Amino acid sequence: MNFYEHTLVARQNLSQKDVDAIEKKYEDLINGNSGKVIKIEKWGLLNFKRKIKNFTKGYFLHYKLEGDFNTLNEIKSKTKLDNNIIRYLTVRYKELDLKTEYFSKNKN
Amino acid sequence: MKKRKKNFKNSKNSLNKLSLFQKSDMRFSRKCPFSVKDAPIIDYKNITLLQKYITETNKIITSKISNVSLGKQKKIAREIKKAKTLGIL
Repeated sequence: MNFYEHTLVARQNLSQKDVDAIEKKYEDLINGNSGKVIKIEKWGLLNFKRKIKNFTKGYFLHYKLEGDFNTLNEIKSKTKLDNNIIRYLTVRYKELDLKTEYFSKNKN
Repeated sequence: MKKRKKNFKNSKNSLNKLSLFQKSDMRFSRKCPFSVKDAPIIDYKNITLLQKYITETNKIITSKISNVSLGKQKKIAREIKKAKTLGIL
């Protein structure tokens, strides 16, 4: 079991309900496949530095989780089929720091 | 290297040189800002820090100019590339 950080970038023209649905969908997916969600951070709408697929903004969701390679494969296969998600990034960590939040100001 | 450091201590004053063309003993160099105590964390989420090490045209600044040590410079370059994939930088 390793610690990971997983961030999703969703399309900007979604409603709040859709964003909450996406957040719950991937939380259940991680918990279902031998993984465990430790923390979820909503970074909210952020500006891109340059255009990505003709979008200028995006909803950012950030997961801190614990799991195997099986969970990561499951997430990647589902995100590739999902049209609402533009980009994603997973990073492995030896230890997660749960205290510092870099995007907490933009949230309010 | 050890011998050089000893010479620094003995001749700190630059006035006791014999000629003008003699090389100065003092070296002007800044230390790496990340190899100090309580240094800031290099991470792809810490955008305000990473923006200092990028030019206006989104190029990574070399360690010659920014004076970051070799290991930390490699880490900065890696984290900037991660942030670029998400579109934040």
